[in-house]
Amino acid sequence: MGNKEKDIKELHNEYMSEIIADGAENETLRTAIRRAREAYRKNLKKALETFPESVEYKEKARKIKEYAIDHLEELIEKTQKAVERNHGHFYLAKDAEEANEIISRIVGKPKKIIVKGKSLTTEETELRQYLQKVGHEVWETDLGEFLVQIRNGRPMHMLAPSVDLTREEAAKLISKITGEDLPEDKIETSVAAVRRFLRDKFTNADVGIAGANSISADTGTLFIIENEGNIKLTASLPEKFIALVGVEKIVPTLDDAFHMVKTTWRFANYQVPSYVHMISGPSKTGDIEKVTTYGAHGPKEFHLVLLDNGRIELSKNKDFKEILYCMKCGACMYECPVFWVTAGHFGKSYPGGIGALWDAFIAKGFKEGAPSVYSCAICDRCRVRCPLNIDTAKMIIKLRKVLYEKGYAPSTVKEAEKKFFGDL
Amino acid sequence: MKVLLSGVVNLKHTNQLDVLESIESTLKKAGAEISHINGEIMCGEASINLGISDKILPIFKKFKEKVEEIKPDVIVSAYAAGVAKWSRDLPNNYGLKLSVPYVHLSEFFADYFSKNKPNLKPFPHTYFVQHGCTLGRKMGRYGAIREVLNLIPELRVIEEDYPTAELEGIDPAEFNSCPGAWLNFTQPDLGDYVKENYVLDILVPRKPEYAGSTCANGHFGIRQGLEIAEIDSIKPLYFTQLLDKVWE
Ligand code: SF4
Ligand code: SF4
Repeated sequence: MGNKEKDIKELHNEYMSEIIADGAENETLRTAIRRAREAYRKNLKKALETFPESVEYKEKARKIKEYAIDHLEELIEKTQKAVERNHGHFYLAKDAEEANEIISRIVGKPKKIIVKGKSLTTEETELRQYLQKVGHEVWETDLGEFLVQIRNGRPMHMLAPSVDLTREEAAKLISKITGEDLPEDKIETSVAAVRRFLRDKFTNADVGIAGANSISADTGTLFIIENEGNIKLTASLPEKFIALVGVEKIVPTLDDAFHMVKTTWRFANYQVPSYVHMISGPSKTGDIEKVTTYGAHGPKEFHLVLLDNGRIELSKNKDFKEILYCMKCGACMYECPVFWVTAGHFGKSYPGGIGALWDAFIAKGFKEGAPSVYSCAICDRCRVRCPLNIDTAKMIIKLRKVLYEKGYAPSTVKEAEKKFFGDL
Repeated sequence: MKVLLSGVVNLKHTNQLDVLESIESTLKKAGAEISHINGEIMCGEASINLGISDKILPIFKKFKEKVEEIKPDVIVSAYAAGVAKWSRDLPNNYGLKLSVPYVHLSEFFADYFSKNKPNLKPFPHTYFVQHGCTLGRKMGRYGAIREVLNLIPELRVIEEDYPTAELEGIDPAEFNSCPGAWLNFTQPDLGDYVKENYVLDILVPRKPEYAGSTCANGHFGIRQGLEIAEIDSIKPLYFTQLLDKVWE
């Protein structure tokens, strides 16, 4: 039975069973999140000590996003012009289905080998599953996301998809797919095994797919932050490179885009990431007779698929447009008391409190997204940690009012209403 | 001084009668003449947090009428919810205003002690204070509880630290963790794990002898967490219970 047909009670019950059994009851997950949180805090401290000016980034980043979301449609048009000027192909997909269809057409007939970078937008459209179903061989190349793929799970954090796994569990999973007997206590051997396994996929891949952290409308340039080097290969080795990006990632200028990525990586706790890619079009050369020829060492084709899926409408909603300011840095999750015991089981396509809002408005809809909206403890701690000061708790409260009116609140809310306000 | 004590029914609902007793006792020590509204349901923030604020507007209108009948000098509560509701949501969104101030108990006592010098006995123990999320982060009111606790001789107050607070120019209290008490209203089963984790992750490593939240809702969360985690080396103690112990 599809989720559309499931009644709301069933959806709440299913969600509660999962979040308790796979999340809250899982002691290992709690340990993994605690370790990750401590590492996050330590690294952030180091980053802010080394680059104290980062504290000032926050306010400017917020202003850039406020402007960009208020001028979203205009910026989409500008981006289109810039991408086409750069000999790239531009698409605006109205929803997840259309985005997947467009990408499938660009990829071509099966059976292609596709290497993919980590991207929450592709999680939103379930792109990997779609392309696999059509008959392609698709590989997640970010280590955390690769682990998600091989255990058939879903990302447990925006930037660290396998944050819930310990080194021992990771080694076991990797051993299974590579056939090697990996020591469980050594992270390096697990990492090296995945490197060996994926190397062959990269060199034989027909298509590379990734998301982006920011896009500048004036130059049509994508900024992608990464540490592993998998995006470097994904965006360079195959003949075709496709980026699937939510329209909210567009900001007016190259400087703005760089400011956004700088803020993202700093509050995602990196002093400096290993790589920040700027991609504005296909690979080209003019070295022979100054004639521009496409497809030198990098991809011959560059395709930017922008995803709307409700974002443009949301940008006009004054109560909730702040959802679109989220840069997906993942900082708030490390400080969320609910995430500490549940990881990404709090949420569906998007994790955590901000993720619950993304699910409700963008990825899943109000009905399917409703259960996770009630997992938030309304403590407001995420706002303090968020570099953009996004008021998730306030929006969750407003959304609960809408959900209550639609009949999507859990029975506990009705019980509390009766208990506390029944005599009215 | 005529003090209307709000939120009594919530303390009863959550079986925090010891806290209620200490509130009444300390208010009396401060010379207050206490009144209540019978059957009053104060939990204003709950109505917002659950998404039913419009539906329960009549209750607040009734509350206002009662206040006008009783004519207290001040309304006090151990819950930050009523303070938030009557200082922000009701006046801003519904034009409902009270003619007397509605303050949190910690603010009432901070004000009282600024004008009166009580005789407080030393309490040579460690006390962990959690700044309730509503009074603290959402309203930015941290000062009163600190002033009150600082008056108690030999008390060692422990607050939650945060490694980058100073670097970011933020009061570490802004990063106070939450014991998850609001989940009691929406997903209580999940809430139990959050409360337990709060105790094991935040309280236990800091080794206080006593712990309490400024807000009676957060305090209830801490009590539940201590029970679920089966920790008896840390005793829950609301700040009025502490005050009552040391105030001669
Ligand atoms: S307000 Fe909700 S999402 Fe934000 S930190 Fe608190 S519990 Fe987590
Ligand atoms: S809400 Fe803020 S902290 Fe959380 S992921 Fe988005 S930008 Fe980062």
